[in-house]
Amino acid sequence: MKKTGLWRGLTPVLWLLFTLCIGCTLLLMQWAGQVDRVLGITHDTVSGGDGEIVYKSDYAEADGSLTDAGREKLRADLRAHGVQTMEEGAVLLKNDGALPFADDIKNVTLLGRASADPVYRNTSGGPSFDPSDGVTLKAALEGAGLSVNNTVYDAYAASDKYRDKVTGDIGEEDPDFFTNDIISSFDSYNDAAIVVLSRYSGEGNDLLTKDIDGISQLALHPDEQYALQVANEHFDTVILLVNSGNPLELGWLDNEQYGVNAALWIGTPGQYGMEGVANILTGAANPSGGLIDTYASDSLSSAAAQNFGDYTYANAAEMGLKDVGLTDVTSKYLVQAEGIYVGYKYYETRYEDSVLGRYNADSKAGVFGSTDGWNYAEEVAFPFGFGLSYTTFSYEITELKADGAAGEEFAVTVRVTNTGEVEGKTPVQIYVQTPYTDYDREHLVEKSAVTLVGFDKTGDIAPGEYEDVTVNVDKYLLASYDTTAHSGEGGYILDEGSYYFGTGNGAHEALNNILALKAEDENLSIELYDHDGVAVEGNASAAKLWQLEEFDDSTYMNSAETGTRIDNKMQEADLNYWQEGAVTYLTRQDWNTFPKSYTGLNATQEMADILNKDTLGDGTYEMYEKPADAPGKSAFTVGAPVTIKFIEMKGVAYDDDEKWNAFLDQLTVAQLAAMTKDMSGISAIASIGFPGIGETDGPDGAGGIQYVGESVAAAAFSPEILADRGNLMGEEALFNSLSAQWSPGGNIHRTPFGGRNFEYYSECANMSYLCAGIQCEAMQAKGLIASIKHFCGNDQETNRKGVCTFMNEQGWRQGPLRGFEGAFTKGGSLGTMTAYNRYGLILTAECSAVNNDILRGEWGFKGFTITDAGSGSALDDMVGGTDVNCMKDYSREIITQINTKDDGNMLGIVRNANKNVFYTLLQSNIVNGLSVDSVISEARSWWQYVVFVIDGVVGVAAVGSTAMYVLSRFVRNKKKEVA
Amino acid sequence: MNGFLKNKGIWDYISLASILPAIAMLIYYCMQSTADGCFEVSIVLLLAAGIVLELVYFFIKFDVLPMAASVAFGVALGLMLYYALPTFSDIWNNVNFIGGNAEAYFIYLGILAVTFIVAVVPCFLIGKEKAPKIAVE
Repeated sequence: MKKTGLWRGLTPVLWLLFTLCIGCTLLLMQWAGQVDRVLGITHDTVSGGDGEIVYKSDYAEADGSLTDAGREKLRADLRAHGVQTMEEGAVLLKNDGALPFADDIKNVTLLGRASADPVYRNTSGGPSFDPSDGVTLKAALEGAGLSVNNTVYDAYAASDKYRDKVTGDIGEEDPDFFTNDIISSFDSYNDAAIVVLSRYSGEGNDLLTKDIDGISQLALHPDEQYALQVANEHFDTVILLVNSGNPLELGWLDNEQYGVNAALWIGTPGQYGMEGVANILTGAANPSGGLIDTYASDSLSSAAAQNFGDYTYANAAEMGLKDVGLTDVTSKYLVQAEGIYVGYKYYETRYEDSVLGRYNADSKAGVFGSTDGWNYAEEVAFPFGFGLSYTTFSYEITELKADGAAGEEFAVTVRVTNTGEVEGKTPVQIYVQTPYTDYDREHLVEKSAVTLVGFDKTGDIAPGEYEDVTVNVDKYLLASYDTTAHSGEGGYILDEGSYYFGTGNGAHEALNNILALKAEDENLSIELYDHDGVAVEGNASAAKLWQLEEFDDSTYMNSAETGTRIDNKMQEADLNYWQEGAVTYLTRQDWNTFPKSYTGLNATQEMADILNKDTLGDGTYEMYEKPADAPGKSAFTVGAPVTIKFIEMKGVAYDDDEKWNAFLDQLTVAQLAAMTKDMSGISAIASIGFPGIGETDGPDGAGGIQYVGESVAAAAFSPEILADRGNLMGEEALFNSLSAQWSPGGNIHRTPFGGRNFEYYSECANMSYLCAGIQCEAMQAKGLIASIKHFCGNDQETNRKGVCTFMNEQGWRQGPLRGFEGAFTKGGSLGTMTAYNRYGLILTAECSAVNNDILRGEWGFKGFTITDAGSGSALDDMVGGTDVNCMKDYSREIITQINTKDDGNMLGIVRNANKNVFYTLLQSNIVNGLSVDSVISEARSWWQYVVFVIDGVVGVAAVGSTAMYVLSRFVRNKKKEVA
Repeated sequence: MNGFLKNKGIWDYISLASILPAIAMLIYYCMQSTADGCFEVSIVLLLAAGIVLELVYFFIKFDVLPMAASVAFGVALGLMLYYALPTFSDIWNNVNFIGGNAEAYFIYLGILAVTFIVAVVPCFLIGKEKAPKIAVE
């Protein structure tokens, strides 16, 4: 009886364990790629074959092999690149002569807890800082010959303060930190104080407009003020380093109570960037970066910031809309009422109208930093593109040619003269002002006073010397989207009138230069001023006029890439489509339309019906139904004998349907479905010689070292640095056997608070367009699929999973969509990761209007789309133009739909998705060395066999225990009977 | 009635008591998981099976029944952990990838663990203690 009881109790325990084992096994198998990565396992799925090395590494041996020696050389160049990126991307904001350090600056004190614990990178997918060879600020300064106050440094390093993304605690030490020991230690290290202020954000966490201290997280906090005052009191030289991917409020820089002599924005320095910081401070490098955001006096003042954060439909409960526990939400919305007026497009445009005295520009609407009516100098601390140097430069546009080839229609030549005393380099930023006409006002076509349309960088120019730099500008970037064009079908237009090209140290100076020329041309009397409020004349020679004689709505009527008609496709992503007149978008013709905060909106029944259908849970909520006229699955051949190997499809045109169909016919339904899942890689298919791929995440790394932040790279305004970045990522990928990277980040810094601004280029969509084009081209050239993310409109982290993002079509086209467009049309990117949010009501992964009609139809994209991690649906994604689900396996649901519903429509869609994936991967480094003789192994990693053994042992134990119970029970009964 | 109770030991009552957290779990799970969009019918079926088996055992003394009920509760617990782990991984990694209602999963697991323990312990001990004799006048 005892033994019976033992087995009776043990059996359920063992079945519980067995269930746990099976569950864990399923999870481990789903995440096999990640497990392999953690265990350092790489699969050589390919053996044999003598295929061509299509994508060669510059660090390979003579025989093409990748060795440890080559990896070391690559590492050295990665370090050099990181240093150079920081040297050229850091932005000097203020300098009263304190920098570079004089020779007698030897002993310095680092203040601010971030000096010992900087934000090398905010949290999101990507490499971590590796302390084994990562460069700290202290190490960098000591390497540059300075001595650092260890007493203070060690005290900060030992601090238990920390930055908190949820509460917004900036993690600065309070005044009690400055003990007598700390203060007295200054005496030996008082040549200079270097104060480091940081902000920490990341995936899923925006910065807060009101944090734990009750103020904007971007404002100067009391503990930081105290540290600065201590610095001012005890040091004659105070240097500020701004270690933040988000623009801090810096209007206080000239306050005497803080005594800041020089300020340098360093963004997120990554593994090696601090060495570049030290080089700048000591004069080994001359800073040459320009801001990629507008630094407002008040971080809440931008037009976009009026609608940022958490908005819930007032009638969500009544409509059954939810925001709890789902992998996406249906009850949240965001009205981007600023339209195109993001960042400098707002501030500079309003500035022009205020100096011209029109459109109520100096009204009190939208006043945050101004003492009376709106005043640019009081609202803006530092303009977009602005950056100082250790020397000075003058700019002159010497030539504007307007007859270039398509895509390079304008050639703008700028003579940059070094008017200072030391050698240096500087960005050449080209801006355009397009005419704002009666037509525009009538048709609500918004125009920014200036828009960045091109950039380049000089080389090092000696004092007194000059360099002529020619920047090619695509006329497409001058066009504006007009939803009323072509009788309401929409399209890009170019108004007749005066187009002014301008250059200078940032958007504001360029605009002043344009206005100076405009004043001459139009005999205007304008009082211009700089961002400090100082009256300036503007430099008319740094601007040039180009005249368009006739209104043009035909040049960009059709796509240059595909010939497809470009027309309204985003109308349902405008709340006014669902609720007429609900939103008044900001219009330049009356700055009193400065956006209000759209709180308390209701969802209509029609909206709620769609949202309640198009939602994700851990279950599946599918809108897809097999069309009535859909063919059966027999319309396609599946599982045909293999006669065409994967590598034999290299060079086959995307449009060669005959060849592609013959290739796809060889795959079974299960194999086709398996290709739609990416669980840290796409699995091999041995029968067709497809080796599978590994991929990696993040704009700031390719599975190896942590790069300097993407926004710092952009701030260099250097095509060379961006191309190097892409090239080195491609090189790393070759060594790490990775073929795709979720990079770069193409979203825009819509507001200063975006939690992932650090890994996106800029607030300017054109800047992102240009940068992504350069970087993606370089990545693709090395066989690394540049899968730019998150496509698109994911410009805030709050409610990112499912937030209904509303904006007018011009805002979408010239904003979030533009930020990605260059990656595909200029950079040839063959991958993109969609976003968690919605275009209006439709999840981005399911939006055919964007994924099929715009991305492929207009932009000619031929690559593959993948969902953001863990999101997506089984069937609706496929229909909506998604090819692969990231970290989700819907192959079972797809197989079920095709087989049990005899759904030839879905089979055709999945075949097309497979084609997109295979076509893309044939342009990747996975083809290196592959030939028809290559043998593909689908072998499992060793740990999988261990897991199976454990499952088997526990399963046998469970069955055995059950059997023992039955036996003991039976034997007991038998014995009883005998007795 | 007294004869019916005469055959019941303390572990029989404890075994029966396992249906209390099981019923509470069933109700809470049905409400919360549907709100969260993560309802799994397998959990409901296993809980229901366990409850029925325990109830039947109370009337028909066939000691396979509480074992089978414990197996049902145990498998439900194991399955729930399988469903919960991806959501928990977000917390461990300080990211927001998978999503899901982590708090609800903790509650589910807690109640299921209690249910399982209350059900399985008697399995070891049923029959070890004779039912108290009730004097029949």
